[in-house]
Amino acid sequence: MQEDSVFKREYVLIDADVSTKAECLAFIAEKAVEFGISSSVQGTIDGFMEREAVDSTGFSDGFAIPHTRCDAILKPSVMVVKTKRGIDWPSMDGEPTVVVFALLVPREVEGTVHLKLLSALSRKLVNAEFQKSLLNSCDSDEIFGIINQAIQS
Amino acid sequence: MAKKLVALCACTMGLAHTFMAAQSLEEAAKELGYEVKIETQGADGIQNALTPKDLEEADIIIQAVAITPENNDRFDNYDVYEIGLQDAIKNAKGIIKEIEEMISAEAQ
Repeated sequence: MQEDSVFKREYVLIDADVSTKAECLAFIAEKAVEFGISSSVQGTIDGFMEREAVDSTGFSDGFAIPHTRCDAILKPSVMVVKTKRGIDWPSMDGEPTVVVFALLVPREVEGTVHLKLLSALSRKLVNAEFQKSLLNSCDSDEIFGIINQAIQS
Repeated sequence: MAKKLVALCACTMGLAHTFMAAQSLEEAAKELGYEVKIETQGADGIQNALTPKDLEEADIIIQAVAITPENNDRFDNYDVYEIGLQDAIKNAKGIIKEIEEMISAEAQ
């Protein structure tokens, strides 16, 4: 994997011990700083919450896709969290959320290569088979493989 | 000739819902037998832009937008069905069918 890759093995976090949307976003923000994706935990949380205030990014079948484009983010990245238990994240079908795709994008992005990878992933997210394969997997290597393939294809 | 459906998708940040809606509409329209072209106005700019010819040929024109799109005057002389991005994502097929019903009701 290249250093500037939007998605890395370590960005898959399974069994996250979080109970609420706020806890989950805080967990993602802390990890984002740890991974060098973000310069600020609070800045990242604020970025996510700003978007959540417009409307919830929970969609259906247990998936949510929080995202932010803010000054705290240093490089375009996608992080994937699978939570230990379903969390209440207002969604289109009222189902609890278990798989969280977080898209993190700096305010200024050079070129569109990375943005295109993120848009390819967003498209994949509405695919029922893709969703099912992620819901059924509890293995982070496998989850990494499934998503990495989706981004590359 | 196949019926043609064109759509424009654009959400506030252009990172996620634009593309989820585009993909859902594309799959549903294909399933319902349409030739389909979908423009996205997202963080990566305007992709797959709809041309005057596309609009002229289209049987159904949809906008799933949360912002005022760029170059919106292209649509001035056409019937445009405006739908929510969330509806496009969760119920694209149902919405296309509803539009079909509205069109056939108007034709009578």
